[in-house]
Amino acid sequence: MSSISNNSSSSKHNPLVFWLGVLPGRTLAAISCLLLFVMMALTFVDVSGRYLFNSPLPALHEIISFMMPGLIFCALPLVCRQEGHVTIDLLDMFLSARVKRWQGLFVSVVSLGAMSFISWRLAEKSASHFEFGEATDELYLDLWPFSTGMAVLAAIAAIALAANVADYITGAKTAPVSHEVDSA
Amino acid sequence: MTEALFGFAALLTLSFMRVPIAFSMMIVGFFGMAVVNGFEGALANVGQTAFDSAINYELSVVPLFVLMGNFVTRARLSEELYAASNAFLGHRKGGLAMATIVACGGFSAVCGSSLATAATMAKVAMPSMRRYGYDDGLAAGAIAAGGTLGILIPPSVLLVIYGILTQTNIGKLFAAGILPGIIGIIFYLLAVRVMITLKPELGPPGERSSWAVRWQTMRGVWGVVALFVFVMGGIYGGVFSPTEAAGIGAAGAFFFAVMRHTMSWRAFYEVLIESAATTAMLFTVLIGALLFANFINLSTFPDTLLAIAGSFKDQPGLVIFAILVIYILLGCVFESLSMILLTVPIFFPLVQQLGYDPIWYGIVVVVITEISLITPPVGLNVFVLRGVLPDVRTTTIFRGVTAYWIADLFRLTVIVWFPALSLWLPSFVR
Repeated sequence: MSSISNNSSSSKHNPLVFWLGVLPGRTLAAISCLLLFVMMALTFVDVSGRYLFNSPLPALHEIISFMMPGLIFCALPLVCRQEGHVTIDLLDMFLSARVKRWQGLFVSVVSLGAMSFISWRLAEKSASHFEFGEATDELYLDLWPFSTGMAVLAAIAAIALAANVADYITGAKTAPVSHEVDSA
Repeated sequence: MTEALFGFAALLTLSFMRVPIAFSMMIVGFFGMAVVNGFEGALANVGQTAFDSAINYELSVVPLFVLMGNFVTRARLSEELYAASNAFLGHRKGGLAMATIVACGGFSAVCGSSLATAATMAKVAMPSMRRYGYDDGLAAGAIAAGGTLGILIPPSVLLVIYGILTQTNIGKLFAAGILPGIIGIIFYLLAVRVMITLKPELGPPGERSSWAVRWQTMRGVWGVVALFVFVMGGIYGGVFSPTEAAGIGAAGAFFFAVMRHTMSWRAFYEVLIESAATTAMLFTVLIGALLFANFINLSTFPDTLLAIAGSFKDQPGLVIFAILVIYILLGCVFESLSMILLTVPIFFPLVQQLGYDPIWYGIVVVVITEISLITPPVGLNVFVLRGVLPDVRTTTIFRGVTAYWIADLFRLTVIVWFPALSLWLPSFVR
């Protein structure tokens, strides 16, 4: 469960942060929602089709497995922007407001580094997919557009994190957010 | 060996500095692999792991169960569950707290998340316990502890991840969670009983309901029963794969919410976005944990550990005990999925080598995780309640949850001691 929602106020953001860090995250999150709902509907139709009409949807496993990266990576910029990742915030109560702002900056910079790194590695991956012409097993779809898409979305998530870095520098953000986030 | 210990130290340091656990594991995992296995290999591993974990049909069960849980929460099935268990138990001393625990157990049968169970039940059960003058600690403790059943009683997101991680049959794991879940309910009820015996003023009895009313409320829970029987029955009977069951369960919960007019467009969008965000967060942790596990597996750490455990071959119980202690310590700090992803790849081969059943071990791990959800200082279920019940102090909830926590230790002992409790039901799964 997470307490992330899509309606945090954005009035005080500077335009650059808003257009690069906030807006793409929201738009992509909507796509992620759509993918999730379609995934649910497809599974439902597939199973009812199989048992009621004896005609399952063809290649559904593959379609669903290739919707997964879209679902995950489209939601990532929003999660990154809202600092929705799982953190250990045990030491928060011992830190002064000043330290918290530095901490927020540090965490955002490290996260930005990690996300950019993932994006770069996925881009390399897509280059090798392209080079060797790798394709999926059932529908023979080229793999490289998927890995490229993942790399691009990870890059957008990295930009969202860069927006957080900018916010800590300008003082628009002053302390890391605490969400009650847990996967269980 | 040394590099792995340095790795753990670096991971803890980064995480305590508040770097997201997912990124901490990624960073340490990458540098660790680079040290052990060279830079090129480590670079290639990162891209491959990120790509493979995202494109995976088996793992699509995760977002669908998350979605099902969120739709079920919106459908307000929790109200009927509470009304029914209250009609049966409410007139006893401490009965409303008992009813809360039973209702939590029922809700866990359609929701795979502990936090969602606790948050949902808090909204329903807390007002009525307050009306009858229940002690805040006893009441909130019942919700926090009862909520933990969410990840044990199937469906369970954590059991799914454990199953995929260790190649254990998810249907069997789900079946295995049922009896330990019921034992959990019974032990929690005993905990309430003991507290009420010691201090009757904590939970005065509510009103007695007539049998007519009781049957009436039982009819209200048909939605939960139908959903559970359909989804779990489908998995146990071998009719659906877990992913299909999750998809159908999510669709069913969605129809319930629509039929009961609890689903506005706005609520619908919120459910989807919450589920999508949870999924993104989960998979980031997953990718990070896999990278970290790859590093640990490349080091000599697993071999050393196996050698140490091998020297205790005659007393495997000691190894299990040591593992349990490590889990309880880690549980004080780590969030549940990170803890499982971090430890299972390391301990699983060990446990297997000692001849224990993977299904049993999965249940033990989940029960310990449940305990960690109500253990200070982190105890996320307690913090969720703080969000839902802002006027109850965190220390009050932790104080109230103590008796349930002790009950949990007893349950853990019983489940570790009697593997049959976890292994009997799975033997019927096809």
